[in-house]
Amino acid sequence: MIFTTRVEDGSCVVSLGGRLDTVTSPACEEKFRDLVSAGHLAVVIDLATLDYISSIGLRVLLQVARQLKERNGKVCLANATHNVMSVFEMTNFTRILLIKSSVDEALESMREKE
Amino acid sequence: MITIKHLRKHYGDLAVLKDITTEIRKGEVVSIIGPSGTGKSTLLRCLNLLEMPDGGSIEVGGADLLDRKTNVPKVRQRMGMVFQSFNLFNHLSVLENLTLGPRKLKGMSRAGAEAKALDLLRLVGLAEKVHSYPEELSGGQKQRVAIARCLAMEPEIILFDEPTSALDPTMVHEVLSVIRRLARNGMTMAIVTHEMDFARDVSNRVVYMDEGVIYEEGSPEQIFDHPQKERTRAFVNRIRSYTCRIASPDFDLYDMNANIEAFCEKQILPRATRDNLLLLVEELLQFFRQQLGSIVLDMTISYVEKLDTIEVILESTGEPGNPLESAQQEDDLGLTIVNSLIQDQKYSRDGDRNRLEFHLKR
Repeated sequence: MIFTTRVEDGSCVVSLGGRLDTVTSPACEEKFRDLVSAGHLAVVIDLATLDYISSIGLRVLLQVARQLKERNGKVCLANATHNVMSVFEMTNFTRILLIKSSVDEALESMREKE
Repeated sequence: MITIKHLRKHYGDLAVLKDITTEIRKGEVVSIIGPSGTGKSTLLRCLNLLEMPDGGSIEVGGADLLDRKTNVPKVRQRMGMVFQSFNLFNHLSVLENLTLGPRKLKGMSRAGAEAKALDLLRLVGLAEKVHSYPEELSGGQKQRVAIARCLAMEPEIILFDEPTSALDPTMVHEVLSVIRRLARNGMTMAIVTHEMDFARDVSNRVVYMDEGVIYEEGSPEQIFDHPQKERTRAFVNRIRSYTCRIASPDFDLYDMNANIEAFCEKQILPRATRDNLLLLVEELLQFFRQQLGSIVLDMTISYVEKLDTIEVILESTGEPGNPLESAQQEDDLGLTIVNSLIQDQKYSRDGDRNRLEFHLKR
């Protein structure tokens, strides 16, 4: 699984690539925890190159959202691929987390929340 | 007509026929089906001693074919055989192919043999090819000439060894039509074939062979619609499966995924189906994760080509109960995904094992 970060427009943009499944989720969860502990409280998660997500991957994203909320932070997902979007729709994830079509729209929504 | 008892045949250490007992009665059309390499052609070839059996007995019209006192060539004349590769004499014309046997072996006159040959060629729709040579004929035409040649000897029974397997699909129909007509006319036949619809239509009885034995036999309705045994069912429904055993919570998910992907590719399943199947498998295995190590889980993924459905079966040892209901999960995300991907599910207790069956939505 690919996990890269960059700062853009005051937010930390995390690009997730590959699979978020039983095997990769523990390491991904740890990286997100480190990111939040390091003080990044505005997080955009770019899913453009994430091919697969299972329930365990969804829990990682929920955990990130929970941790940020506890710190008055915010999170927005962007660029979900067809497969990933399909899983979001099955589980009503679209009602739980904010999901935008592009990183630019996600960054804009972060500004709106301010 | 033909009674076979405990027939055995081996090649070196390989037992091709292990214990075959059956009979072919006068007027019957018996289709012999089964996977490749299971001894079907060997059985047929033993019936007219093209292969010499290593044990058992074969009686043709009461004559023991394996008795040294039996006039085997005389008995053989009562049986005709049609081969996958036609076996026409290429140096002889169609007419000569048909008249050779009756003239040399039955003492028929040239005129009589030729008249009969023409009648038979009309029967198989090839009267106009009477003076052609085999190389001038299509595969389907060659096989029809082969059938006519067989009929020229007035056999009591015809053995067909995969008569259409070497034919272009466009020619299969013309040969099967001739065989259907022979069946309607009451010819006794034993047919090794991979054409399941044909076997169902034309046969009185179907014999399913597997691993050198008659695994199951019965009427076409029984064998094709209500097979009693698992391997018969798998064969007639063209079910292909991938099976694996998971005994540890640290099983290699990616290795399993690679095998599932290879299985899907082999069945030429769409990408979306493959993706859904991989997701379903991962989600289902989560319900067993806590128990793995103390239970054994067998997973079978089957593609039923006839119905275009995918079945996932999970059989596990352990306490009775549906793991999807009893497993402690932190939320219902996994169950929601499973329910979105499946058409139906069924739980049963089979002896000391829990059995869960799912059909993937298509």
